Parts: sequence; structure tokens; C-alpha cells
Amino acid sequence: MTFSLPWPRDSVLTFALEVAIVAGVLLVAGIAMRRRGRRPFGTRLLAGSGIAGGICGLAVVAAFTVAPTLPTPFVPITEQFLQNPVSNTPENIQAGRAVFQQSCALCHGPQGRGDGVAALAMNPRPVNLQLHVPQHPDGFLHYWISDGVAGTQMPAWKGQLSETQIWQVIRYLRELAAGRS
Amino acid sequence: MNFTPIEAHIIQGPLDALIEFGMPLVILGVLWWWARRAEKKEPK
Repeated sequence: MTFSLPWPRDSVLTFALEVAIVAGVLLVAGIAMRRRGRRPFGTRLLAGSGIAGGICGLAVVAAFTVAPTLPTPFVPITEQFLQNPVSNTPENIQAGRAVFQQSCALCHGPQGRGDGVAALAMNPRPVNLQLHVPQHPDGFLHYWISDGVAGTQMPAWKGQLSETQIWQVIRYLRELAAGRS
Repeated sequence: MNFTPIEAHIIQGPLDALIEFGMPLVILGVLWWWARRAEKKEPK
């Protein structure tokens, strides 16, 4: 499984910019303090400016290597730790597959790669579930399927699918993402 | 450069926004405090 930061690239870049400002403030303060004769204070401020610059550099590197490019859609804290009540049996996975092919494959594609027939007309495109499912716990997936995702065309399925069906789909998605289905 | 709109912070949650905007201030505070210690340690 690939490591990725819990913050999207834009957030990490904003953080890097803020730390760069901190480095600038410390640099100016350090020079000013040394000129006023407060050399130990000024020297450490300059060293601090270097440390902040280093943190800024690390953040920029992280932004373009391990930070995801999409923000994680909101999930209430009460939903984040839900456990899948449906057992991991071939029957449930098969039932999940049937629901997926009927309700989800049109946009997410028959293999969940985000390449369904309807995906071409969508902005943003449906996500590649094989890539994204392993990065999120069950509670997150359950909330996004149940309540939809704001700012996208992912609808809320809780009126159309039963709780059991939603959890069965999640069981199937785990198998699909693991390459076992 | 395309910076995060404020809506993205609301979507991510207040904890993420707090970390993103609060951490640089914490870094500034810690480094400033560390620099002041050098001055206090200096023999007179």
C-alpha cells in the first residue's frame, strides 16, 4: 500500500508558504537583532530561519510526492469509525458485486476504475475505486455512499439501497481493490 | 500556484484547518522561544 499524507497537495503547499513567511520573519528579525548588538538572540533567530526554511522545503517535496491531489470529502467524526456489520462471506461479496454492477458501474466502471459509460460527461470524474478504496476506512466509504459527495455527482444512495446492501458493496469494493474479485 | 479555497478547509474539517494555519504559528513561537533562551544563557 502506498503511503500518502492525510492532507491534499494544495493544503501542504499553503502550509509551505506560511512556513516560508515564518522563515522570512525570523531572518529579518535575526538581522535586526544582530545589528542592535543582541548577537546570541540574532544568531539563533537566523538559525531558526534556516530550520523553518528546511521545513518549508520538506513540505514542498512532500506536496509533490506523497500528498494526494484531491481533498478528502467531509465525514462526520461519528461516522468515521463505523465497522462493517456484514460478514466477509462469498455470499455477501457476491451480493455486493450485483448491487455494484447495477447501481455503481455506470459511472465508476465495471471494474471500478472510474471509467464508466457516464463518466466522460462528468466533472470531476468518478474516482478510481481500485486506487482510492484502500486509502479509506469502512466508515468513510459508508458515509460517502449513503450521503453522497458534495461538489460531485456522487448521489446519496441511502434511500435507494438498504444499509445491508451498502455494507455488502463495501465488502465487494475491498475485494475488488485487493485484486481478488 | 493553485492554493486551497476556504471551502476545501470546511470540507476537510476544522481540525485540518487548525493544523494548517496553527502549525506555522507554533513553529514561529517555538523557534522564537529557542532564540530567546540563547540570550538568557549568555554570560554577563
